[in-house]
Amino acid sequence: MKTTIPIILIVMAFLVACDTIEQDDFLQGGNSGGIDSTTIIKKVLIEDFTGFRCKNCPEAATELHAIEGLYEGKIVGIGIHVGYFATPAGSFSTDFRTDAGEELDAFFSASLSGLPIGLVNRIGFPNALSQHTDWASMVPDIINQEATVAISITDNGSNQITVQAKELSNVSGNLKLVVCITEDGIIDNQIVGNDVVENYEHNHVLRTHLNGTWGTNVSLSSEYTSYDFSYDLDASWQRNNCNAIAYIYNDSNKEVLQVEKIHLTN
Amino acid sequence: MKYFFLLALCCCPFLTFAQDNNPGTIQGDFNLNVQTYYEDSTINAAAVDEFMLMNGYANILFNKGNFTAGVRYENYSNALLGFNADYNGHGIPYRFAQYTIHGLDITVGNFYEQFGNGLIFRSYEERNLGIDNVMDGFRLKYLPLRGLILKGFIAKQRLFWEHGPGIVRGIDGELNLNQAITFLKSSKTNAVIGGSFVSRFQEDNNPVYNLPKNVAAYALRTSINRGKISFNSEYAYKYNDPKGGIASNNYAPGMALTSHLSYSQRGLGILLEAHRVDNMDYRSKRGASLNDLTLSYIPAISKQHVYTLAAFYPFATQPMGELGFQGQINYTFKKKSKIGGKYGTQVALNYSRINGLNGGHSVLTESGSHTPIFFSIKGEDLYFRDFNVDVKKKISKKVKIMANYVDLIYNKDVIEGKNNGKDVHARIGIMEVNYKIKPKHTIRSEFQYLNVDKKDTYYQDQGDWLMGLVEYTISPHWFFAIMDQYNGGYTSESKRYDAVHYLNLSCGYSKGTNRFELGYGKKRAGIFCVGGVCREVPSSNGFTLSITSSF
Repeated sequence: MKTTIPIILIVMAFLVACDTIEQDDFLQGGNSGGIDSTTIIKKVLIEDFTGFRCKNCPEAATELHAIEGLYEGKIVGIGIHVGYFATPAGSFSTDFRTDAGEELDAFFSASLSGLPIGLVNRIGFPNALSQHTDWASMVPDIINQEATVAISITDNGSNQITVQAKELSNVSGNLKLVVCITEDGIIDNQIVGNDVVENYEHNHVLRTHLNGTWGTNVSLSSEYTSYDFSYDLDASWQRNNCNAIAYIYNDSNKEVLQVEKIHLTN
Repeated sequence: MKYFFLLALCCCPFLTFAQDNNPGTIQGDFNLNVQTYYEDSTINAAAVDEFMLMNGYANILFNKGNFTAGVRYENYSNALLGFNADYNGHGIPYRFAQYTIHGLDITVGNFYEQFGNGLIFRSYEERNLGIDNVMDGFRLKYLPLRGLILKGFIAKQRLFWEHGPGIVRGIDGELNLNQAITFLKSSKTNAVIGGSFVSRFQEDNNPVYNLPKNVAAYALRTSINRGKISFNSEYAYKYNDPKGGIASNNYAPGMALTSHLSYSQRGLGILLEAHRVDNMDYRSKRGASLNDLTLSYIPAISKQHVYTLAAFYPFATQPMGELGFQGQINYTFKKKSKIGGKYGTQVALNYSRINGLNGGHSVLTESGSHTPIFFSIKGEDLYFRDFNVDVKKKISKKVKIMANYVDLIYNKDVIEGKNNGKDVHARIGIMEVNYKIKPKHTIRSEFQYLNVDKKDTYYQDQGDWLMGLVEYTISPHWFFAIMDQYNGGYTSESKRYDAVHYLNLSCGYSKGTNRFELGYGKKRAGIFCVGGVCREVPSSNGFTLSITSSF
């Protein structure tokens, strides 16, 4: 017994590992996102698999909005409505699903893993899915990396856009360019917790892919190469709320190397 | 690394104990489940690209004296529908070596463990649910003196084919007072006290919030028995455990309190249970969801029904917050009494009720806080209510009957994350008859009816169900069964679903420790639960093959 008690105390001393944060210290002071911005930075694509009948999904949308605010101009979000929770039913009549979204859902097994869930630059494939509570922690490492690819998008009017891309350093692998349209500011139903919010604002909603779910092969050089795309906006979409998004990823590991977004002009 | 363990295991009998005449023993078991999937629009079942899917595993265990080592090979090619696709693949996720010497038990590699009731730590596997949160590290157990058991571990937790990011440390002590204290040895009252402490370390990379890297929880428990009365209780407390993210974080502590009081004598058993859980979702990764990386386990406080339709609406424990009660009386009417008849009659009454906490679970953020009052029932959100009666009676040497009536209210929104705005109120009647035709030949039949309350105040879900089952057993080798679940059709979310039969045929053959079971039929979508933990199972149409074996 004489030796047992000290042993227990020693063991306990090692194990009393607990950090208690006081309420005044929950937030870090003076954080500005810590971006060392140069001429061309590496932006981050966050794909949020969601659904308007998914009660916890607004938490992820709020998180994405907060990340965009923290890293202003460095984050591009896409809200991909998929699966059961996006299937119209009852008063939830709008169908936000897209063929590309469903294909991405099946490929990354997003719905099977439980919504909300997402991808941050698709890093980690085949285990690329991450929870929204992890997204913000993943961003700093990416945006502080040197950009290897540059993308610019030009809205030419008359439903024509031009995407220009070049490599900033030697990039190996089969690169693919994806161009899609998203819409912000859509007012529709959304389950938030246990309530149906009828005037919920849906942002980043994926509307269509212009060159297929997986995009088209591109061969980049140190000079900009141009790719032209035309698009049609559905009558129910508000053009002044729509965005054109272009991203380039490495097909071997699905990792997104660069992403760019512009707001469509009227 | 995993192959090293396998090699070490195989070599052990020949190397480590080469001079010992006892070669040790090797045990193993094998389990294979295969299912084909056909498209069936009548039940909204989908085909799969692979045509058939498979879950399989095999355990091999070597034991010699105080030494044990084992491995488990798993193969999901690909995982059956309803199981997480992250299991797809194969490998050896479980391997361990263990030996005991002079009261010290050392395990290296994988291990399952539970402290107390599991409120702050339970590492377990439940293959039917696709849960395997086995630990990987070191575990020690030590008996320093009579009646005292100490356990400690440092490990990471399995997440499919990888490990979660958290490092988990834990210690548990349990003292049997009657064994440890001399003057209590002859006491009629037996008492055991215990305490445990668990801490999780995970890096904090949050750009906005200060998150605790070390999140701890402790629990204290006691168990007292005297004669026919038994009482046990455990209290657990979890320190601040925000999920992460930058939009908001909840720094509120969590707690759980569970108590059981039982009385048992010949022919009579009484059980009273209560528990309160608040913000007690403790995992080895902050913010993990579903059944991933769970450390805490809150035992269910409602009856776990086994009959198909009674288990149609099972309750899943809500670790974020609930207040629940359960009472059960088991009584056996004696043989040759008026109700007992020639062979006696067993009756069980069970009631459970679970509701949410006042105003929801505890919240503490930079801008405010909420702490629910400790005890509140009236006016709170009802999660589950179940009243059921179970009667078992042997009529003659050849006939046994079992009757079961269940009346439950099921909060589908909370339990399944749906949004119907109303609870389901279901009444289920069940009758089972076992008839022994002749020695080794038995026929078992079940008749079940589930009726949902059609009042506007309740959600009708999929309406009423009828089920019949006939099973013929020829001991000890064969069984044949036919089962049909019939749904009369229903309307949900403005869509009409036609009546449908879920017909299933199955047969099984056992010889020794080998068992084969082949089936074909339709399976309905539903919730499948074990111990208050559940998973959704999609509808399917196809053949199933199950093979189990052991040596």
